[in-house]
Amino acid sequence: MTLQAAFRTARSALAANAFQTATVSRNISGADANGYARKIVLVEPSLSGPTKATRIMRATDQSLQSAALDASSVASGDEAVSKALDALQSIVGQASDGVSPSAMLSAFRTALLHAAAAPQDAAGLAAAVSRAGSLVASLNQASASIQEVRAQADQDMASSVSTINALLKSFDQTNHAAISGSASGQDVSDLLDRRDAILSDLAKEVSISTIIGSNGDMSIYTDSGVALYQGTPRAVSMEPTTTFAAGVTGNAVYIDGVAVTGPSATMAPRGGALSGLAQIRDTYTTTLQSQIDEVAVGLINAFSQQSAAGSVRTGLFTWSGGPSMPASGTQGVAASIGVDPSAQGNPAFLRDGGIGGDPNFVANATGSSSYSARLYDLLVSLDAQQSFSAPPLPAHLNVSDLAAQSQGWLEGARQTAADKSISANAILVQTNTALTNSSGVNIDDQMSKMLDLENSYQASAKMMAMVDSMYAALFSAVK
Amino acid sequence: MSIFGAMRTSVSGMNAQSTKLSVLSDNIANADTIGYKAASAQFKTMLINAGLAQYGSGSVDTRIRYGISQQGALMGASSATDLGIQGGGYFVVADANGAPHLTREGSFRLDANGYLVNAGGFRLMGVSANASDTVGFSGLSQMKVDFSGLMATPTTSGAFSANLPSDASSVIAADLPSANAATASWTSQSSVVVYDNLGSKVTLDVYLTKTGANSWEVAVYDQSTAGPSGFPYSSGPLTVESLQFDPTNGSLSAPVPGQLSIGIPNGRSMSLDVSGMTQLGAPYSVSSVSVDGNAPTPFSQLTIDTDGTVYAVYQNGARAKQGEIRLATVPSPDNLMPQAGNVYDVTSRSGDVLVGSAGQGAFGGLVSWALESSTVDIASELTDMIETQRAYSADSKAFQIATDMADVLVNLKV
Repeated sequence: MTLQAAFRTARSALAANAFQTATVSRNISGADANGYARKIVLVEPSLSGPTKATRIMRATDQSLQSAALDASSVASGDEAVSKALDALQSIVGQASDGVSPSAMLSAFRTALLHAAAAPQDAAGLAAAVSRAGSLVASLNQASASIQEVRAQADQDMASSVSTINALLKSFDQTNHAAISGSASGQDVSDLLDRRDAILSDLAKEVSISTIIGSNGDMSIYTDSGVALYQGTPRAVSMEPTTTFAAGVTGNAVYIDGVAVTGPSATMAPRGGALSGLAQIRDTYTTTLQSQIDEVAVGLINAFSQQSAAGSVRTGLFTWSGGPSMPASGTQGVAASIGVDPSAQGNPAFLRDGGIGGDPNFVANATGSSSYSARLYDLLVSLDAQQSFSAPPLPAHLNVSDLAAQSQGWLEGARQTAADKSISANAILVQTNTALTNSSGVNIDDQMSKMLDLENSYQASAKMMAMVDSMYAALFSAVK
Repeated sequence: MSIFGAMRTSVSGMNAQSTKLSVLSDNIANADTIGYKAASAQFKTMLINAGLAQYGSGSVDTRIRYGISQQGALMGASSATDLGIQGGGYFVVADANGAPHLTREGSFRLDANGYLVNAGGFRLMGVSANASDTVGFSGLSQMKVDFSGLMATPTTSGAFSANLPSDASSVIAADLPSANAATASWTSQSSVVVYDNLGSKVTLDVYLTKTGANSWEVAVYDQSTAGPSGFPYSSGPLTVESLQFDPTNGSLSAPVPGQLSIGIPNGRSMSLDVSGMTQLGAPYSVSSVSVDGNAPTPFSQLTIDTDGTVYAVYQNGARAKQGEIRLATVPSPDNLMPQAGNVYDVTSRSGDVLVGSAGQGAFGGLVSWALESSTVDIASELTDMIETQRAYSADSKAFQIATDMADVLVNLKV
């Protein structure tokens, strides 16, 4: 050990100290950044003593991180479902607000009851026909809104797909830079932070699982096992559908050539916005559509007209396929249901029958203005049970109950989705807190480290000053 | 005659001290020279025949000793090609004429031609990547790193392991992916990127299909031959293999060993290790995937292991062995002959050269990012200097006294 060695040791201590100070300031500035993991400096005495090698490490917790990614996928999937159902309900309406098909149906029924009590009152008949008009308008509106929500979900899926592709592309660059950097011994911790931030963005779109290879290379799979990134980003694609109508099926999303949404998908991811939107587009909206289609079919059936010869045709309510009757399960009836124009022109048709102008279907043979049998028949028929195919609703119901239960089903689905979303968010907050506690930055901790560093810097500087004064003594001895 | 003898003796003393001062000043001048070994001056007596009654003063002769075997402290440096040796051994370097020398000066830098050149202008010598271990001193050549072009490596091996869901339903034989029919169905799918001979990426589709209880089929296709909706592929499977799982623990029981041989289109035959596959009552999930090989990638930098292996690191993280630095030593390093440029030459007194790998036998390990500092200690040089100065003064005093005595003698007659 020589005096020069003492100098060098003090100098390397100063360098290591400066490196640690820089890291502390990096930690403090990154305390609030998304995906920032606390940096830890490893100061190790080297073999030969005086030099100090410094290495930087990230505080990470793999299992907590993957739990946080899962929680974020579930939360964003549930949130997408909950938001879309909220939108759907605010458009279709609630039972109590008086504009929903169910409320319109009950208003129509009341008007029909009044008309039956005073069949000679032209204004009463006109009111019933006008109520019928409002009812079909609300069904048309509901059907259009459902398809709008579907179209919106489809667009959101397309934009989610392009987000995923963009994220995978930037992941590719970051991953390559990180591998290359770590292979050549550089500090890649910022790149790894960036990579984790991309993963957390990606997890919001689709639920993922990751595998880290021996050289730090990371592969990403969906939680169902479809490759998203391994060596290269895999193609994620979806053909958006321009126009949605009842019966139109949206296109599936393909990852790496495998369908991950839709009924044929055997490897569908279990979370993420993409899967939430696919549920809205392919399940919730189609179910609701088939329910209101059945309401429309039920209405047309309840008001059908039968001739003496036994032939049946549409009555007050008709549809695009009229005057033939729609079969139960016909798609898109709610979009095309309307009030027969002849009844609108002459509300008395409602009382007398023969809507559409065919005399074979006239019930009031005498033409009496106090004829009410047909109106009472219609009320009975409206309240009669019919067979529907609108799962998950019961198969045998009357139209009013079907409309009310459809409303209830939507409300139930919305409530369930909202509850799920709230609890998923609670779990997300909890896992994120746990992750931040284990790998985030604690400012108090960093401050106390800063004080330590200040002291050791002073000690090293003092050491140098002392060696310098020893040299000075030696030089003064040489005369 | 002893007065004049005393004068000659003190002159030889002054000569010896000035030689020592030269050595000291050289040491001090090189106190910061990388790999410099401090020299020292040693004195030996030269006596003239003396009787019992007479003392014939002799003189002092100087011998220069070199502490070439001394280890200097390693200090941190700014480059991966700054090399220090922790322990015995010397770098073998070539001068402009190609003649080999030994040195501890390890501040090598890559020059435009791919040679590693130190601050003294000497080129580092070693052996090429595939040389045998028993290369002698004459077999060493100047290390040359090829960093101009791109490097691509075809894939030859890889590993893929996943858990297959034991509760999946079986697929009938006609619909298995191996039949390559439009009606093909499968249980799980994955894809793996590999590299062909030219380093182009080839994506392999891996279909895992349950065929019966504990029995699965793995079929591998080239994704680029996939039809518009997947199956059928325009060319048949690259490999098809039946996997059997042990019903007692879900591990792979056949084939043994769990290797698939896949002929990569335009590439090598790849051996894919699937021995880690399991079949348990859990959903499909890939647990590890790795393949070797890489796409064409430009040179990034050199790294050097403690055993002296020189790797070129490419921008995608791939490493390729470029050669190996070999160290040399002699039985008596302190008898090496120093030459300009901080190098040493072998002399008859130092013995024959021994060549070997760093970290083995008498050879120390290589430390990258470090340089060996000079062994000179300024404090001890300065104290020696004070001593030298005093000794020189004493010699001159003796000379002065002898002169005075001679004066007295000369003036006796007056």
